[in-house]
Amino acid sequence: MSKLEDIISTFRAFEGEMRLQVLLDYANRLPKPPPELMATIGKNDAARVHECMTPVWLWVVPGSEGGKTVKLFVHVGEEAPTVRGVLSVIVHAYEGATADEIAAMPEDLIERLGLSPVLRMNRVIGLHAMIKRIKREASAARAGASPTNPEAGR
Amino acid sequence: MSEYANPERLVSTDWVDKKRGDLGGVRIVESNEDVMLYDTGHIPGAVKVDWHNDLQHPVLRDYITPEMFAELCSRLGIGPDTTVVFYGDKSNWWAAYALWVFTMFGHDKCVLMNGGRKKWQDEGRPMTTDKPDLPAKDYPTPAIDFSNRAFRDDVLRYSRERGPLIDVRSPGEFSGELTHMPDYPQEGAQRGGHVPGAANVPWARAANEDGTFKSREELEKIYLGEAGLQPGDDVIAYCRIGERSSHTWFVLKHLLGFPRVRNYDGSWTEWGNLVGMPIETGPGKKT
Repeated sequence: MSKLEDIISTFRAFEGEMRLQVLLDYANRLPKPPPELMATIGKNDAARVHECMTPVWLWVVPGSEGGKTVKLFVHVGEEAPTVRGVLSVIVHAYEGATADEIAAMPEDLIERLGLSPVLRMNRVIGLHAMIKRIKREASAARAGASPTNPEAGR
Repeated sequence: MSEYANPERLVSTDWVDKKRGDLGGVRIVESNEDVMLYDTGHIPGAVKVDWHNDLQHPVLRDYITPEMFAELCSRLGIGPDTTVVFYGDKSNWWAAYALWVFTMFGHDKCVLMNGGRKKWQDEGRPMTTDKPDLPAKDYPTPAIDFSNRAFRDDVLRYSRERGPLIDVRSPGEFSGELTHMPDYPQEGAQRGGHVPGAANVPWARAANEDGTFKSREELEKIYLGEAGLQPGDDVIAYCRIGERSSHTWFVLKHLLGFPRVRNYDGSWTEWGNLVGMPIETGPGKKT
């Protein structure tokens, strides 16, 4: 079972408010991006995700093994735990993954996690747009360049 | 805060901090944009009302029924005589929305905590993740009061007769350049622009940096001066789904004391999708 399938079945084991608690737990475990990426915020807004209603910064950087795997880093304020939670799920599910695997992320991830009935439509629209953006970034990283941060991984 | 028309509608963070030890007759309610923000920490003793999951009808595009409202209040330990103190994120934007919905169900004892969640946190006041265990209260099924709610036909009449209409969206949404909030997802309006005759006053102009409301004098300068409202006007405010305009509704109704103010909650996601409705684009008249 893939990490993502594993996480989905954890979510599916709970219902309603309890499912939100699982998401909150993920929100609290969102890894911090390294300081050199955090330092680009405000200077280079290429990493800013405009598709989401919450200020989100996203970086896809090459992994240490010479390019096959990539690392996903995101920064979201603590005032947006729902977005933090979903991004944390993605970061955990795709830890050590290749850009191809991230680019193939299911677009209906929110539905698979069973979150649309608890988050409702208005909120889900923005999250869908964010997932598309991550997939696009991963495709671009696979093509060679890291569009959000060309200096990372040098 | 005594300068405002209905100063009793606003309480300070200090007042809430003193009151939270003894919640007899008072319930503190947090309402945020993010459904989980309350769960990450809130004012001790506060309960959560989610603008979507608790206040919207699960099937219809409408609010919950009076029976569901009575059930919600009962569960939160709110009785018909309880003073409900609302606060939340984003300068009380969603708290004002929840307050407006409570007003529609005739719950008159509703106040806002000036400055909301951010001011409370910035002042270093206590937060907790513990949920209060409050005894349920009886809440009789209320009658619906639409005196603060406008429907599309009211707005169409207002547009034709040039009644005072305030569009509280961003200038880009008002002009028709955008059909959604800057940085917010597209929420499905087929056409961009505004209701002909509306004046554009973005909602956040009523708030200070710290989330508190601007002074009465500053608010009068904006709404009476720039937007051209006259004292005694019967005003309709709208935005995209009626949330931002609830904030403006509170300002006009309770801080400036206009005798009648209605919030058009159908707002642009209804108007911009209806066939044949009049729409104006561009920056509109200079306000």
